[in-house]
Amino acid sequence: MIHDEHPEIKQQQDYLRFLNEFHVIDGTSLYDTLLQNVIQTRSYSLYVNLEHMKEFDEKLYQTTVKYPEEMIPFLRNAALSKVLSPDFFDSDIDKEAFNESFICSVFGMPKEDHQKLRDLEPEDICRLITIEGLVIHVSPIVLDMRMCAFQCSSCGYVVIVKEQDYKIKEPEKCDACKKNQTMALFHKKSIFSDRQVIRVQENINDIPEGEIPRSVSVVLTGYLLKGVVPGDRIKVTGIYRAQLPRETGGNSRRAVKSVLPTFIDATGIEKDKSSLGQGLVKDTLSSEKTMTKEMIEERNIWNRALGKRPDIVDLLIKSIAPSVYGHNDVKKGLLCQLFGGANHPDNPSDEAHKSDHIGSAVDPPSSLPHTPSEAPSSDFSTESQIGHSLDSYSQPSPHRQRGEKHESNGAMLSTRNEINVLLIGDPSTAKSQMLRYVHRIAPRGMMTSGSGSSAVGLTAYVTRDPDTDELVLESGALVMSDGGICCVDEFDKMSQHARTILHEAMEQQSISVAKAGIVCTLRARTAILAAANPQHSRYNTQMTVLQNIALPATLLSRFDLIFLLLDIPEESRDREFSRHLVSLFQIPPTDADDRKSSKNRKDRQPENNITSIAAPKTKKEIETEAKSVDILTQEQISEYILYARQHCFPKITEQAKETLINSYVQMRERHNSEKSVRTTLRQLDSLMRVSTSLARMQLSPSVSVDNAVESVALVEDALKRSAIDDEGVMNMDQVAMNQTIVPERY
Amino acid sequence: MIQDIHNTNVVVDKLITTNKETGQQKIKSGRFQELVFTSPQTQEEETITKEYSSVSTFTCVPVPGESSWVFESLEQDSENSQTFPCPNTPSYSSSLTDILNPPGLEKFNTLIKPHIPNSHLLSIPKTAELFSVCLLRIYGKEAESLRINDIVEVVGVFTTQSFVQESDNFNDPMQDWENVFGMSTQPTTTSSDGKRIITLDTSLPTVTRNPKTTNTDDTREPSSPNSHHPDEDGTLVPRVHAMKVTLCSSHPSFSASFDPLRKFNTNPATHGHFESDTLFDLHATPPPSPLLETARHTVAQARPVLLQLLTQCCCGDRLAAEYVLMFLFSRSVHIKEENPIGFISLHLSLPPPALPRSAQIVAALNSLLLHLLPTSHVQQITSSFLNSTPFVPSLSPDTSRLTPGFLQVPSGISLLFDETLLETPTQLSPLAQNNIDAVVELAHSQVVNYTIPFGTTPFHADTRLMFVSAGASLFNCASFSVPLVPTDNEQNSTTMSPNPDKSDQHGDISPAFLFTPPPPLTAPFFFASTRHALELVRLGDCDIHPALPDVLTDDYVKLRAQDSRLGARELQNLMNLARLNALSHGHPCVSVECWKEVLRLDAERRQRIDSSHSQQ
Repeated sequence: MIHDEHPEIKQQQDYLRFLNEFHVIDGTSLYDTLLQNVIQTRSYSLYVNLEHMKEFDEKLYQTTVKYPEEMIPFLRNAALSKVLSPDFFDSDIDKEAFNESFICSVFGMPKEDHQKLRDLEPEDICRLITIEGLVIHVSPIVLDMRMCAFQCSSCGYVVIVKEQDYKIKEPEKCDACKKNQTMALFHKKSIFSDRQVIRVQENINDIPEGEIPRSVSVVLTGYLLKGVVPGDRIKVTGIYRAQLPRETGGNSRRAVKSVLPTFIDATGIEKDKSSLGQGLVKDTLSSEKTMTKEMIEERNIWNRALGKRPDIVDLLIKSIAPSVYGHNDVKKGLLCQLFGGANHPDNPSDEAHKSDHIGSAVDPPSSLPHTPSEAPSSDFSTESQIGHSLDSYSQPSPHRQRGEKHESNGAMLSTRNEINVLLIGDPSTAKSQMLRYVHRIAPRGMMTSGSGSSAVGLTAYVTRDPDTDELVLESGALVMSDGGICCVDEFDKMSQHARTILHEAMEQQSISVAKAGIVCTLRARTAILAAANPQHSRYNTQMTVLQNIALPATLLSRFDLIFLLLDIPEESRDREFSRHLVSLFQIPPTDADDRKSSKNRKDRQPENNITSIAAPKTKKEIETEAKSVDILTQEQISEYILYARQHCFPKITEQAKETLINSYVQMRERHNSEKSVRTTLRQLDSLMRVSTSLARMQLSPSVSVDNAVESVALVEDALKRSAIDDEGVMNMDQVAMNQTIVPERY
Repeated sequence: MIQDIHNTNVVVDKLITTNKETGQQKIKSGRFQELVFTSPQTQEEETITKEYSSVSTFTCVPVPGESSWVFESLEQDSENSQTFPCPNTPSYSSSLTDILNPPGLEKFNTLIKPHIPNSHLLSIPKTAELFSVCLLRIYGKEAESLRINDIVEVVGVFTTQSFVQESDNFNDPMQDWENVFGMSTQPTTTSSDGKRIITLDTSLPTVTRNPKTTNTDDTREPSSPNSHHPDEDGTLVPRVHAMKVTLCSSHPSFSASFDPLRKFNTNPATHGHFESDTLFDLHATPPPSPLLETARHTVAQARPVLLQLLTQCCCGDRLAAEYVLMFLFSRSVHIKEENPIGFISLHLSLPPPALPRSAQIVAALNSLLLHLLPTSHVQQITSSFLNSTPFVPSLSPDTSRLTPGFLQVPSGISLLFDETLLETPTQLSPLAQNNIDAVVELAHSQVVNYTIPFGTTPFHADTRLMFVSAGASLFNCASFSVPLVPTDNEQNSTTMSPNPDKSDQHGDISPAFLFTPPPPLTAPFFFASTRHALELVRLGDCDIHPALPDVLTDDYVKLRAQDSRLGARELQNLMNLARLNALSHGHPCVSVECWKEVLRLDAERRQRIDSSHSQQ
């Protein structure tokens, strides 16, 4: 058959069949639509999604992955033949120019075929791969010579030499006059193309503990140029190559380098614009080399079963920061911060994993038009006004973007889902430990110390690019923590100027910059977790709460939860803690007989992670296991938080709304003294966020009255308000008594 | 020590060349060499076979702070005296200069070395001698288990061969050191005289033409993908192509005794599903029981002598000497989701009368530490040092090279911070403040957060920290702060060192000058046996006596009732100290007596602090 003699024809026809028959609706395939877009928009580029190809024809997909250099030209020819066919051909188009300029490439391998950057092997050379990473460096655009023109200096004869394997061979003699060494480079007729090299580093989540991140060079050409900036999280699809050996040497001998660096010739790039929750916590499953749909479903079943447990909140409190004994209320507050509020859910029609493919005609739908809801009155002093404002939380418009709220004049305000937490306490109350634990669970954030932080370091600073010598803005800690949690230790030692910067970031979730001629607003959708000591290092019972805290009221009001951690001697707790500490030093009896056994240093995966479940289990088995587990590992906590943030957007019920309003009014009346932390409208917002977060912990679709009551109790108990008198002075005996009761409550 | 791990590259395992005239094919391999040589008559047949395998490249430096006796003991153990030499030994420079090309050495000293900033020179060794760094290439996947700061023993092929060395015109000596240490410079420009020049990155293709030939295949190469990110080639940087690599514990000679990849387990009862492997335990398996028993016995015997030596170092202060002695056994054990245990940091606060002797005290302590510990370093803390030297390593986004920091040290090292010369008032830059924060973090949690692009990554450490200062410490992070109370007279103290004004902080003060111990434990045999036993015991296990938990909890409750400032951290420090006390006595477990002794010492220490405060 002709196909056997000319296998390339068969391949091209396979691709044509894929383009014609994939996802046909009303007689038109998806790629028919895309190609029509290509013609209409004159974009001259088609990017084929490899997930579609795999879904359509696994064998074709595998061939494309194994031999991309050979196969992608066939794909291009198939697409071109389709475009130039009478059905598609537009008589206004210059056929020849279209033929010259048309680019067809691939992107988007299925997630189970993604590879980790550090797992790339020599066997992957010349194959198609997809890796995820963070862009850390972008080179300036350089010229690549594609075709070099040489002109004879004697007779003027011009010859064109094409680039092959990154080499252009200069002719030794002129074909016309046959003279040697007369050919010189003729720039005018040479053809150059643009090229840009970026450096992609593996995601922080993928870095094994105790190692530095690996990186790889990625070459961008064509429409991929200038598509990324440092800091972008991307998925790169491309051909993994080894740099060709360069020759050097004299007449007597030549040498070829034996060690060759590797790089990726990118064919497609997707920017990761997924929901913030995905990047907030470590997604351990995505770090596995292979992840099947069954494993994803197993994880979902596990998480749903966990959510159904009546004691899920207690289980999470017990599992988080296990090295910190006690402080259950603080742990609950930290969990609220990790789960986050969800006042404005994402548009339900969007996928959980949003991405923006660079240069693709298949763009995700742009922002849907939104209509302002019923505008609440501008006066928020009455309950009815408060109720109106809460309405916007309970029944968001499906067309409203996340984080939007409207003022009475219809202008948009920005609200936040992030919960800011402040821990103030005596030394040795494990504040820094809890900060470090949260930073481990939510690594997409910066850990900084207040004493070493400046306003510039927190926001953004101007520096000169080493390549272009231009002034550029470099992100500071808050901007780099966008989408994560910024942990600030020694918060009380931060300078006043640095603290003022936080005001805008904490409430508006943005940072305004105007320096060195650069005026812009940077996003800083960051939750702040701060730890501080009281004014005189230890809580002074002779002073009021505000005097001990010694932070401006404007800053305090921006924290949703303020915890006072007091180190009060209490016998039973002290005994429990000391026993726990001693247990760490004890050698378990089993290990005494097993000295020589040791695992491979690479085998660092937890053994009872659900991903390590060897044989596939039934749904019932997984649910039973989830219901009976006594304590969760850090990975399991991360997965559960991730699942909740991606799938659970509780709506507040009328009863819960009523409860919150009543509680807020009571708090306003009770804590109106200048000597205590006052209750403002921001606290109502905080109550909303905290109650939503508590509902999210239970994967509940709605915020119940219990959640509302719990959030009020958490806010009150955090500041130990029950033990504070009208003068703002704390009764330590009352605090000690409450501490013996509080653990039972939580 | 492995200072940096480069991104994995590939090596040409098989390269087939074809002679143009005869058609004869030759198969060559790129392993164990930097270049594969061909003749101009051959043409590379790229279409036939080119097989690749992975090769990992590491930047290796001499072990920072390594005591000179370590190499001497290795030399004695090794049959082949040409093992990889330590730069602190006299034989190092001469052996390498025999091998290497003198012009290269001269060129390095005149052209390159003056331009290398201090931060790129090795952090702890005094000076960066030529070839105090090498590139280690390991073929295959075995290298994946190696980590930053690991100490390795390597047997392999040593070479200085490199790609650029083949160039006729070595115009840019800085190029190589950029590649190795990640320093970025402006890209060089092409020369107009047609000479062969290797450039970093150009906007136009490079022109390579050999002026000696008239009939060659000239090729013009477009700028290659990695030309913007130079690889690790370097003319003057030697390479070792490894054939055998052994991962070592803190003392290389221990690696033969026991498995270096041991994990420390804790009581699973408190953690239910606690895993059997402990993350980041950097040390070897505790030695087999017979060895450990012998070591404990040796330590128990040596304890009085050590205490006496340390007492003299501390101007007759026995309390301070006790703490320093226990400090010698400090070891950080990291447990998943728990604070690390087993370590302490120490601060010796010198009162005004002892200040004139501060240099002697520091020198004596340092000398003793160097004689006892395999790795130790003393550092004078001044404001200029803090303001100019980065403590935390950072990964450059441009070149993906790890710039070393002062705190990038091997596991088990002892760092002695001499703050006695710190100026007051001290003007600290933001870098200095970051440095101080890094030391505080290290002292509290034994973690150094390396700076990487757009974040940090934690590295667990086992670093012993000691601070000596006049009054309060700038860092203010030690587990125990002991005000020194000199009890000896000054006349005796001058016999401690033959050269009190000697500026060399590493010192070579002979133990004979320190003290005359009773026979038979006289130097040098005393130190030779003691240091080995000390390290073995330090790495050994120490259990808890069953009676201790109840006693400890009762004591803790009582102490808290007396002084509410005693919190969780203080209790952990005391527990660590009790463990070290047991180790220093050669006990296999922490007994009630050890705990009581620690409480007594701590009470005495607190009393001193209170009295010094009241005097002020």
